[in-house]
Amino acid sequence: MAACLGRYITCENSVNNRLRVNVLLIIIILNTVSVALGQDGDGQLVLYMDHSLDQGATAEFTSRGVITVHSLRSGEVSWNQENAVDSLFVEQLKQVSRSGGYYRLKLSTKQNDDNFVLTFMNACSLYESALSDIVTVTFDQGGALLGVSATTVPSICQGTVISDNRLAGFNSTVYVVSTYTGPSPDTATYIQRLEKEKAEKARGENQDNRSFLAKYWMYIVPLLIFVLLSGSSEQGGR
Amino acid sequence: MTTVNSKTMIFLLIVLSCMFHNSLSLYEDQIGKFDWKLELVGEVNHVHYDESGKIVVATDKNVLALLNLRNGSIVWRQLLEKGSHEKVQSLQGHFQDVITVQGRGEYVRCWDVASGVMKWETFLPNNPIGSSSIMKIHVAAANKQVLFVEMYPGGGIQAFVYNIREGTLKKSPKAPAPWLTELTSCEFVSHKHLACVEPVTRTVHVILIEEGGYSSSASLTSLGLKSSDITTELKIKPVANQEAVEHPLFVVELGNNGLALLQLQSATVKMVRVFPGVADLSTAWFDGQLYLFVLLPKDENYKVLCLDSSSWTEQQELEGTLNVPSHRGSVKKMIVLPFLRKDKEPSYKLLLTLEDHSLVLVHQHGKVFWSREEALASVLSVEIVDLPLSDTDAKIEQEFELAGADVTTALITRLTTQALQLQTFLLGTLMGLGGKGSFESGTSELIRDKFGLHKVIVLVSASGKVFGIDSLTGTIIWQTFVPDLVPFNEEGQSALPLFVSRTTAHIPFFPQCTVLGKHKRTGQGYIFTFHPITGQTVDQQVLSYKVIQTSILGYVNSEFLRGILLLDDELKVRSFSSFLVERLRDKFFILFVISATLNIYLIDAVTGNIIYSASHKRTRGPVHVVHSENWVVYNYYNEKYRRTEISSIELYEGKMQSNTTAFSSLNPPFPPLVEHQTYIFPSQIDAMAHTLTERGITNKHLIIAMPTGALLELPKAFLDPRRPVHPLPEHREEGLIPYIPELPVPAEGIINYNLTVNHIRGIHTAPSGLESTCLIIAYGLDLFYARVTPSKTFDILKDDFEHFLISAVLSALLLVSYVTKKLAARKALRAAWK
Repeated sequence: MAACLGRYITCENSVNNRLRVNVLLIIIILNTVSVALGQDGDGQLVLYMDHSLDQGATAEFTSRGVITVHSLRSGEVSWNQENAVDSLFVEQLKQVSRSGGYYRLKLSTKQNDDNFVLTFMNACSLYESALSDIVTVTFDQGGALLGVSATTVPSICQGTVISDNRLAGFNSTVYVVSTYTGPSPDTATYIQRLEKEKAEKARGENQDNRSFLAKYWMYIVPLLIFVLLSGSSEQGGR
Repeated sequence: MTTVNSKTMIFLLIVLSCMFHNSLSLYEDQIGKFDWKLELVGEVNHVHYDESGKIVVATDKNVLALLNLRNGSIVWRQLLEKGSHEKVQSLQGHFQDVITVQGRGEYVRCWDVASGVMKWETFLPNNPIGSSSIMKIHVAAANKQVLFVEMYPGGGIQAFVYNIREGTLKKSPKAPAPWLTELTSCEFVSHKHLACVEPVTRTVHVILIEEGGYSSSASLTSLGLKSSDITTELKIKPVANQEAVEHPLFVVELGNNGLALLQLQSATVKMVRVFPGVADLSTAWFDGQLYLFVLLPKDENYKVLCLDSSSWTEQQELEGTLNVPSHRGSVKKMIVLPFLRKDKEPSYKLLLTLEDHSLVLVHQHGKVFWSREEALASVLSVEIVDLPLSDTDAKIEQEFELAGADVTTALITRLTTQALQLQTFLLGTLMGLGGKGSFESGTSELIRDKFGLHKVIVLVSASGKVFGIDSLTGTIIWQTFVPDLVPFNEEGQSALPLFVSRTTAHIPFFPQCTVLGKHKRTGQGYIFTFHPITGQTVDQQVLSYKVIQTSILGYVNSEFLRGILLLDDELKVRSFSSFLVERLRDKFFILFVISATLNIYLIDAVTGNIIYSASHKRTRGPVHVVHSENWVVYNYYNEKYRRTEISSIELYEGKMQSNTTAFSSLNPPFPPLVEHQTYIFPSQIDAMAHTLTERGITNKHLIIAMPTGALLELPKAFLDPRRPVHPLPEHREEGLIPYIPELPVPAEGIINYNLTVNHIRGIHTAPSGLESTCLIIAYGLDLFYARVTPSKTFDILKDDFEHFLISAVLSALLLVSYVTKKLAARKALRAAWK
């Protein structure tokens, strides 16, 4: 069980769930207040992306770029991160990936805002993928920023050496995901199906037109086998 | 005549012989009945006792029950409204009736004592719900009156008398009471008087209800109490048998300093006596004379002193002793039940309510007649723990622990243990062939059985009591009381997390369980560690910080102990077993996710990646979540359609198999395929759990507790989100049930058949040694334990399995094939010679 409800209920890693696909944490929050939206008047959302290769709690983040979400519904996004990479960053990335450190990414709707979302990945995977990362940003239905996650292609570190000219800039893909509306019981379709079946029955459309053999082969075949077998055993007896 | 007689006789004989019936019977275990149920009432708050030996109790769980004086069993039990504002305020009896008042007088009910049938019900008029006043209610059953006062702190007191028979309400003018604060303790001390004590000015005020004014007030110091004796925790306590008395006695509790007995005498309060260090005080009538009984703690025991109420002299012959075991805590309340012995000498029994919520009936000289463990009605956490191995099996385990031993000793131990193993195996096989109880060993010893069905259920109660219960019989093996342990409490939800720090599997280390709670006085973290099989305390300590959140770690240390992760009030991560903190700090994350409706988020615990999120509009709780393998099931109440709905989410990797060899938790896999579907459930849901089995091969079922007291076992297949609306042949191949929006509640799925389990708060499941069998315990007001077999008992041979026949047939077959082989060889040889 990893269900956390309230603050005191515990989350434990069950030993019994050996078939678990992933470690999940479910959080259900009822009737809480929404955070201020970072939405502009024309429905656009601007996200400020900061990153850091510093390790430890006192990491200093520098600006990586800006993501503009044009529409949450269609997921239309554009981003600008032209000045994110310099030689200093590349050197630090190499050094941090050698030491097994992390690369951290921070997103907020206002610059230098205290309300931000944060993710991290192995610095080596960023290095070995030649800065090709996939950033997924999650919003709720009102457009409030919920979370961010990042991964790279390939995601596993194998010790590949990347030439400096491939580390000139980020080759990013940004996905925008928003909260789905939970499904409600599909009574309408079910009733439609029932009515359709009823109507078909009334018209006699679903009468079985198959031949006698096609309909009852599953009974005939075992009977035949049985007859054959008993016949052969009689023969053997003689 | 005789012939006619003999004819009728013969005729009768024939008729009677036709009536002979061959009846067959089964044992409980043959039909798979391995369950038990414990019925409880809760912590007793109000007691009514009458001369005919009937004890009517009202409890904190809002249960009204009649207890059998001889054995403490429940004769009848009525479950009243369970809301916290509908608590039973007053319980008074008069001949065959008891009258209860609940809440602010919403329910005034009269019950027949003998049958528990409600005779009539009414409510108090002029009762503004949600009024800010403090209300005290008292029933005068003999006069058919309900007296109540409304007190406005800083304002005044208004008294009311409601006549039940005539339905009239007498209201007194609001009397000013400037001394009244939130701290003032007021109680009805008789059918006419309300007494209040005000802890700041240390004044006692007595209000005569009928007249509406207060008849007198006196400061405690003026009554002769030393100011050093008076604490700030002053409380009024009514004395038994004073309801109809002209000059009632009442008690002022002086915190830990004992009790002061006061008496009201025609408009003045008089101090009768101070009893320093006394736990409780009660009265009883003997021969028209009122006697006072005082409970005095003495060298870890109690002594009961008896005083004559006219001269206040001690009565030696009515003195009593009491021995309260340490697992019960201190006595909260004492009720004296007087009776006449066979030699017409007066004697008494004592009904005690104790700190651990138990109810005990003892004799004058301390002999315990019966006890009720009512702490089990407020269970907060449950774990099911394996029993240890038998000595022979333990030796085999120990062989692997002999690290560093030389070859010869290792060889010798191996040979001896294997010889022993062979011996037990042979014995077991012989027993099995005899068909004697190989399935149900029924050993009373606490040793693991062959199929792991015999376990110890560890229960932690809100009262701070921990129990170990035998899973086969439901009897209490051990109990420990931790007086200073109180549950965490937030938003009306109490919790006392229980962890299995070390399972029974790690011989020679003993198993270990840990309860985490709050310290009663300081509110700081309190850790209590114990041995789950014997109940021995291993360790208990008060932490130097408050705990906000806790979790058990998935790792074990060199002694196979799991660490417990604590988050303190400064949001610092702490680990109880002091290891692995560094690694965990990296994985720690904080969430601030917000919404206006019911939102569900599936979040990767390592990366914080939001895998899936969905929202349900116009819904409310309570929400119960079940999560296992790759699926999540939760329920909520849909306010638009006014029905309970169950939603089910399943995650799939999609059609592509991911690279499982190069896997890192730090890199989230591709977004999974999410299937989400919602179903209507035709009842409300109190609790939900899923079945757990040893290897997870058996089908998953959900166990759903319904408010009717039924436990439903529903196959997970009904909650598959892929159930097709338009079923196709390939769906049938996969075993998908066609979509029907409403979930069924099949009668055969009710695992507790006619045993109603009331007010279920939680369900705990645990695997047994048999893959087919899952053990479940449901806890609430009652306890119910059962075994469920989601895929039927596929790995169990039936009791009537013909071991002898099968082995005889097998050996005969072997013999015949051997003989025929020989014969065939001979025949072939002869044919060759021809």
